[in-house]
Amino acid sequence: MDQNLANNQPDVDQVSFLLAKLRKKYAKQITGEFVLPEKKADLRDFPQALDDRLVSALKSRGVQKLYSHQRQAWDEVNAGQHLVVVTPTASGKTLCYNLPVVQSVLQDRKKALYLFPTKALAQDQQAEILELNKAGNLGVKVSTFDGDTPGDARKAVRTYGDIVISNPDMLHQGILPHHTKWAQFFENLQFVVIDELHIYRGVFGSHVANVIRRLKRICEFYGVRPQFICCSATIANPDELASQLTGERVKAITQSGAPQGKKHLLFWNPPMVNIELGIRASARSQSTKIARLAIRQGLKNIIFAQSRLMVEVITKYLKDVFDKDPRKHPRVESYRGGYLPNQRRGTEKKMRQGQVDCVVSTSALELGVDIGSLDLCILNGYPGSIAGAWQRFGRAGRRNRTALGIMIASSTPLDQFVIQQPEFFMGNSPEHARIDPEQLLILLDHIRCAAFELPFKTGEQFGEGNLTEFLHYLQDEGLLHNEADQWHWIAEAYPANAVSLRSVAEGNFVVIDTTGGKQEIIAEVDYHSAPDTIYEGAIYLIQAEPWQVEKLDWVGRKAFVTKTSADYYTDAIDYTKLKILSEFQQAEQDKARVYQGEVHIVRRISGYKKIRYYTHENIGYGKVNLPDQEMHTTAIWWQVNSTALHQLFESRWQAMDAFLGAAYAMHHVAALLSMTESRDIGRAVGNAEGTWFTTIGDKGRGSQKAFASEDIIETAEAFNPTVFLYDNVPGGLGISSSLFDLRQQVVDHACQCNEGCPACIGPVLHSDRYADYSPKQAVLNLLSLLQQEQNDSEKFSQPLNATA
Amino acid sequence: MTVRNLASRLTQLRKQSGAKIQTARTLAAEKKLADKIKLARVNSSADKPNSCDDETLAKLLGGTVYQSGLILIQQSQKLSALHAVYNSAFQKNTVQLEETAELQHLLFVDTETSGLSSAAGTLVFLLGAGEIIGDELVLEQMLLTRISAEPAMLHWFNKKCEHKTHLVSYNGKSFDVPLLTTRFRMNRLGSHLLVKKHIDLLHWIRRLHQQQMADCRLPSAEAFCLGFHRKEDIPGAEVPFVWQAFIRYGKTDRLKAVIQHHAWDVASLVGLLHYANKLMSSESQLQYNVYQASKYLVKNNENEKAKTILEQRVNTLDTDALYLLGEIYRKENRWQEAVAIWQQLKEQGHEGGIESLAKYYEHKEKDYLAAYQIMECLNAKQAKEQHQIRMRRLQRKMANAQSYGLMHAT
Repeated sequence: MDQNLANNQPDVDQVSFLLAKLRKKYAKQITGEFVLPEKKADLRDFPQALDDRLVSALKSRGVQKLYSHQRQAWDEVNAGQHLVVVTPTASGKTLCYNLPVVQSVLQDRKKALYLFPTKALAQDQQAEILELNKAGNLGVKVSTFDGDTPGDARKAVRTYGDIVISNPDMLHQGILPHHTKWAQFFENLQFVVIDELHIYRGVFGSHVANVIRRLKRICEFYGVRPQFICCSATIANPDELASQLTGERVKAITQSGAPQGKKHLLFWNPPMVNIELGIRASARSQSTKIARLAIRQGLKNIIFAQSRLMVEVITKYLKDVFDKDPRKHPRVESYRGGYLPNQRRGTEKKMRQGQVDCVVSTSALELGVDIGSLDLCILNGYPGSIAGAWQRFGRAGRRNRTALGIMIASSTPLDQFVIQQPEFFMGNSPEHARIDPEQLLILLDHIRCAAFELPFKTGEQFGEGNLTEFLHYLQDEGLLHNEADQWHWIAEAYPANAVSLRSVAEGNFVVIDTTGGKQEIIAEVDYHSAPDTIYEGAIYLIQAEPWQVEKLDWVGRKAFVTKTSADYYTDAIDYTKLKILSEFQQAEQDKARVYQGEVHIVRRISGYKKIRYYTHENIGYGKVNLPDQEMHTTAIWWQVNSTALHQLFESRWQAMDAFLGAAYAMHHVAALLSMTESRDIGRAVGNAEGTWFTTIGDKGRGSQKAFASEDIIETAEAFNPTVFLYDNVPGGLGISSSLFDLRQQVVDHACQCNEGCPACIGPVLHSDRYADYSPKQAVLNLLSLLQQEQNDSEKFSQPLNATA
Repeated sequence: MTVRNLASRLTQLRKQSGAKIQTARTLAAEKKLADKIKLARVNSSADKPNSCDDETLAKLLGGTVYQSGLILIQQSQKLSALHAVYNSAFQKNTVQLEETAELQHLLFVDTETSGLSSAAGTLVFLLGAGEIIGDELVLEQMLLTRISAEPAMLHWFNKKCEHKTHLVSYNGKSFDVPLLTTRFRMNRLGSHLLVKKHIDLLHWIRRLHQQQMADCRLPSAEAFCLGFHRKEDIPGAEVPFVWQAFIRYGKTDRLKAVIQHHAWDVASLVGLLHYANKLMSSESQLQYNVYQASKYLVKNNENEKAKTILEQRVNTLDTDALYLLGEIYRKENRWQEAVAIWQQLKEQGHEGGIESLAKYYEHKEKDYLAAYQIMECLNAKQAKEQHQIRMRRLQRKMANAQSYGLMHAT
């Protein structure tokens, strides 16, 4: 709020000191350095119409003028526009919506609903409005409404709250199904504020778009049409995303008028440890090294890791250094989804109070949760999206002070691509956030919930599809009853409870600690990650503490674990089989064909590896016996003309090496292009009939395996290896069709990295390099086959991989 | 995409996402033969949706067609014939629980619903309104046979409420009334419901008998308080399914059982109101229950109400109830009254009372010796670690006080 007050500069020395040290000692690792200069504020006068009480409240809190984007937002809102404001972290975004909202409360006693993705953000926002309230004695009644709101307070919030701050999950499960209790609120609802809009993409976004459809349906019942004000981190298509989410035409404000503190960004590539094979040290080793330096120097820092497992591993390594004495407050803490809420609140508080020097987190902390100001932010690996990277960098130096952000590349092609071409990161407009509100299962979930909330009328629309078909389906399920032109909910169930906005899965698993005979739920795991994480024998980590899974009750959706002191972690071994069901579109190329269509995937976890900490050696295997995971989804796949294939490869195993390597590279490039998390896309290599698939054989070579027996076979049938990239969600999420449009780039981009390092074709081939055969070359040859030739003269006129 | 296509696709995808889909068919595979046949019939052509017309159904249930989609079942019963516990009618035609009300101004309310939440998607399909007229309970039950008739049912109910002062229910404060309010809102109708006073008997049965009953469900309360046991009652959990089977396939065979179940529910409201009223009226009091009721009230921060109950019966209270009253006085800083009670309890050898008295001397009067003597007497009777700790502390305090010359001259 102190946006116009001069900020006294804290000691920048420590940050500069560390920076100088890194530059001097590790010059080779730094592939790029950028300085985001200080930026002056662009200030405007308060609007004439602004309520005097609000003006004096702002002035007493040190706000003498508005930033240009705040003033613009005010003007647009007053013109009746739905709005999305896209400006950097800490640019005073909240005033963009707080001004019009508080004004309408003061002058017309109207109401507003704020949606934040997490409870913690809601708490922050409530505190902010309360301070404004106090400063101007405004009497605006603002309250959070979430799972933590006590029962006796809920009625008061519903009846008297002017501004209710909640989250999509609560709206979905706690507010919409009970809308009659909120009648007074809805009847006067004028604004719906959606902050952190960019979070609502992929599965979550597709769910939330449907929750908003339900919200608008309820609003219509109470005779209101609220105005939407959204805020987002920098993405390429904020207006498109906001329009899809809200179902309204939304205008974007993208010019920030806020000042900015100086920030250094370093791009860091870990050193080569084996130049022959092009193997680099892990990102983890670099992150912990820099964190150790920073902690010793008294700098508060945060490390973002890409997976929960990596969070736990890094935390353990840092705790082994800094938290050896159990009597002292821990200096290093971890933070991720799956921890219980009060554990997370505790860590947040300790960060704010400066008790903790370093927090290791997944994207769970990426959002604006207030954890105080930090000096240094380390990204252990590229987060997969530019918006995500900026959002995380925004963690450092929130309060106008010089800060340092370091991005450390892992060995994945995406990371190597970004780290070696930093200008891509700095120059390109960041990702397109995509959602698919029409995803069948998601849509079905919300039609169920909507039918519970208000009977559907024949002819009513919900989404773009044919609602009547869904209603008939639900009637056959015994949930709906059609009478005259109305479809009534008649089942006993409360459908919202069974729908999670975070997944397309209906059966979460609970992890139950049975150590010493107790029975305590310590975590939840969603259906799709269960086979990889809580198989019997798995080491399940929470706060770097290992639990071993003793028993998995698949039908009952329960995993029983006990505390253990194992010095290893476990990694699942999986096999994927894929079968083409139908082709939606295809493109013929010179040497290859590209298809997009529907596929059937079977995934089997056959066992797991035990990997020792620190040495990362493989110390054993275990067998896993779980039902196969089936999925119907959409995919894009490539097949090569068989003559060309035979010309290019001497043997089948060489071809398969190439296909595996190419699949690896294409997977990561596809994730970059379609701007999705790489885990939202799956990959496989096999034949179109699903009778065999390839994997890495014992000697590190590609080999052909029949899925059923897992024995290596040599099939007599035609050899037509296929690379598949599929949407990793039952029913698909529209990714493969956008990849089909980008099909040239998927194979084109794959080896843009300077050295053509093995990272780009995956670690599968590291050990397989002998005589005159280069697996990398095989992959590059294959990729060139998959490309459309530009013209005849270029055909085979040059080596197959000019770029590498 | 045809309907069948979408449906099978949805079913397939849902299974892949971890859903446990139970269709009539998969259920049938798991159930017993008898159930199998029943379920198979669900899909047969004999049960067409809404094949049963209101007239026939009304005859079957012993009611009349109120209007299209609504069947009204009326019956009156002598109060004395309702439950064995009645040996006389209500004494003065009034009840006096948290409210004072005339019997004729009470409306006994109960609902049967399609689900257990009071959220927007739960329907009330059977609505009961009971009135006491003379020495009879007049019970009207309205059964919804077409959902489109819901507004008419609510309108009827609103009229029933209009001239009453109080609603009487079992758990109606948290279930039936919020649910009915939801139904009124969903149909955009106004209602008298929320302005009515409400006697929720569940709260009273809890206050009186929570300790003694395994649970406080209505059938348990009936058995415990009224000695009434239902014969061949349909379990409450099955009720929603009976109505679903009726509304979807016109299956009527178990509707009669639901009507009977619901009639018992309403009749029990009258019985339990009588019971609670009798128990709480000064003429016949049960010590144990006075204590339990007031303890319950104190626990729920209703000290004033508890005090009223206890003070009315101050001369006949047992030691535990007396102690409770003392605690209320203590919280109100009414030391004189509290000490009087503790003195009385000390004479009767009540441990808690004696300890309170000692605490009073220790912390309020700072008369450590007096406190010590009281504790000594208590510890002699019942040696306990906690008593000895207190005594040791008192000794220390006495020693300290002596050294400063502040000791009371005793």
